[in-house]
Amino acid sequence: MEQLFLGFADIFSLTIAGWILAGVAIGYLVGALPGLGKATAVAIAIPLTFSLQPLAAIAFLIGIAKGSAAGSAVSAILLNVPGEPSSAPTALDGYPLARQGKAGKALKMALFASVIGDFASTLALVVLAEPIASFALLIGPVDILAILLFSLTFVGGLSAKSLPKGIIAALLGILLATVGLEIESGLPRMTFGLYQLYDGIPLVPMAIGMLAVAEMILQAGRRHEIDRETREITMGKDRDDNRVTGADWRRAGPSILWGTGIGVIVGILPGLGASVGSFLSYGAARSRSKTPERFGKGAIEGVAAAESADNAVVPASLIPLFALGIPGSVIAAILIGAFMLHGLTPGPLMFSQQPRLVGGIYAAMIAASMGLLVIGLVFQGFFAMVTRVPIRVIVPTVLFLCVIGAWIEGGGAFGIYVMLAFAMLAVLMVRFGFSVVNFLIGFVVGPAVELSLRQSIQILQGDPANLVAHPLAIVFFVLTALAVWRFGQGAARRPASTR
Amino acid sequence: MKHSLDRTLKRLAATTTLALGLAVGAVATPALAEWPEKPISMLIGFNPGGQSDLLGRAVAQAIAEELGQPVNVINKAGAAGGVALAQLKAMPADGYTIMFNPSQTITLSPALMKQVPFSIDDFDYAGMLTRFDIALVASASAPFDDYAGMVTYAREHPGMLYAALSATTRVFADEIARANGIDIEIMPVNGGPGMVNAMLGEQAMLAYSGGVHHRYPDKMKVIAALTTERNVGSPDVPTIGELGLPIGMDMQTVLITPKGVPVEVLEKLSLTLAKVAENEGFAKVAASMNAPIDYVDAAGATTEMYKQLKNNLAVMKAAGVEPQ
Repeated sequence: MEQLFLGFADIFSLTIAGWILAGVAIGYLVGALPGLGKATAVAIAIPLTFSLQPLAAIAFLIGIAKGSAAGSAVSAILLNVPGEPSSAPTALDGYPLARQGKAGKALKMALFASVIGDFASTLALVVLAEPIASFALLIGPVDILAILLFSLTFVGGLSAKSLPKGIIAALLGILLATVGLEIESGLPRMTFGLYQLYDGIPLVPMAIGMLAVAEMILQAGRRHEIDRETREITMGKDRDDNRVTGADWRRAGPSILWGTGIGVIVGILPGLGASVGSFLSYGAARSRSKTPERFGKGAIEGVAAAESADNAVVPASLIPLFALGIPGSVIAAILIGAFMLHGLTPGPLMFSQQPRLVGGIYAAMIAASMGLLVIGLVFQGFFAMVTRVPIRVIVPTVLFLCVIGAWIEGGGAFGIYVMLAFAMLAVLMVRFGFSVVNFLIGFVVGPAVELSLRQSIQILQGDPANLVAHPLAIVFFVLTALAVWRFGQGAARRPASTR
Repeated sequence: MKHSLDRTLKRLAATTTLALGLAVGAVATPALAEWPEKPISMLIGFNPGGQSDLLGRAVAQAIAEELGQPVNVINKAGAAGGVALAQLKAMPADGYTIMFNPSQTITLSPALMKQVPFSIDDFDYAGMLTRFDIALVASASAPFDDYAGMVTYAREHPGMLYAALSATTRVFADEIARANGIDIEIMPVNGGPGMVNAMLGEQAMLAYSGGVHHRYPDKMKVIAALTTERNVGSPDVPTIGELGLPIGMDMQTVLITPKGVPVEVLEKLSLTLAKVAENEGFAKVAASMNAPIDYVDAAGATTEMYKQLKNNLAVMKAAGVEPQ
């Protein structure tokens, strides 16, 4: 605790505070640009920090990571183009809200949810890093498999209209996630000789195609209607459309709490990442909701659920990094490089060897959460002007940004082909009533399930009786069975018309 | 065919220009002598943020310092650098597009895949910069400290888990198991971080490491070097070859250009790389990545690449691995 106070004293110098704010601001801007994610932003910024002193450098980089996790909601809400994959679920309800003239409300809710998730997760890091981390090591592949299987049952809750169609969509996502080098033998699987598919189907072009491009294709069929709507979309028609009201807080509050919790857990577990966190949180919010039919049409709690989890993953993924030296996410893996570069070896020794620096990092992270709130509110004012632009101008611009994002993240023209192919698939899926969200959840969670399943088979030596040594896994397997049973019952009773 | 003819013509043209330039002297200074006169693009075949990317970016920065021209990094991830190599092959051989990549993408891929969209002959090699300390490592709590101890333990406890990252890394475990008549089970992990996790979480007892184990000296111990020469970071541990199993495969980072880059340019790149190896900023980055610097010039790198390809093909063939 004392170190934390010393740390605060350290960061309240003009230079360090300046670097934190600069990091958050750059991150927020980069996050808001479609196709440039936090990993890219931090990686590109690392060489810039070579000449800085360690605390300033690390504070700057963490600021970028936090800023871009929050900023990616902006383009998701305003343009329906997620700034990075983990903000794809934000677009599902954020964009409909913007279309209803509630862009200001959606942006603010996204920011508040981000800041709360981020702040709570940072506190979890400060308080729990040491005690929790040794526990995280005990959670092996067998337990992770059980947790992931349980989380996949949220798919059931997302399939209010038709459980079979929902499950088919999720399975299709899992099927396509198997494309690429097979994890155990390293041999290409379902790549059809296409060299670019060795690393699997790239997620960003796929998500952009399925969400943004498909949406525009679907809208192109009703141009006149859209022209009329454009005249109606103006900011500030009603004061309540531009702020988060008490009613919104009551709706979104539980989603933020759940989202933060899910984000923290996903962050601590190795190899899952922010996308898994935000998709699962969105799925959980929808399956918990009494009015799941509002989701996808502008439910404020959907935005809150996705963004709180997205941001909570970032600090939580540093828990295993700080306490054990294990990176919990891509961003943590990148930060290892940066930490080492500045003479800080992540791991348990860090607390005894450089307590003052660790205190400083904690303080900087807490300060970055606060900075995020300020920077976000300032920048949103500018970004929200996008809503005053007629949709006829926005659509070609967005398509242009989609193409750029797909090109950058999908390895050139190949990414654009992926984007177009999945746009077509999504149009067909929507027309025939299959859930695109379920598909994406299957695609994001699928590889983690496969890896942990194969690891589990080896660890258990192929004998289910060896599960006895993994009580946590047993608990989650039982919960999974109960959830499947419950959804099955619900689907049987529910009238077919609700969605 | 047409391609190689083109290249020959280009080279001829370049040489002629140079000869003319030398003959005419001050009147017509050849453009080549001034390389680089504009920014250079450096391809990196991995996503931003990984070890390969961070090291590559540090190299790009150091080259830019030495040459006085910006070096722009372009990330083109896919197939462990293969996607970027396929692109590099199609770029003009003028020295303005270079690539920094681990050698095995070129020297090992043909042993694993039938269709590789590039070959060792498609490129020139300007030099090697760092070496990978590839090793067989064990968790610190493992009840053995060396290779002989490991074999004895495995004989008494069949089914010991080995964390493997890819097809190649499996081969080591399979070969060691076959040569000693022991049973080693393979547990797939996702990349270096996945390996570290499996070791620290004690889910696997053995693992393949590309050098990251140096970061955890009190959590992992080195059982054998899986290279043909001893690891820089653990010179006391014998190679797998010394232990009677000639399956070591080397890996270095190489500076690669499309085939047919003017000799002067290649020479200058090679000299620049030598300076990068001495560069203080780069040394700091390399040390933080546990990437021992071991500079090899253009001629040496080319020889090493062909030697490595031959060795790797032989090792994989002996192991019964067929290209897929």
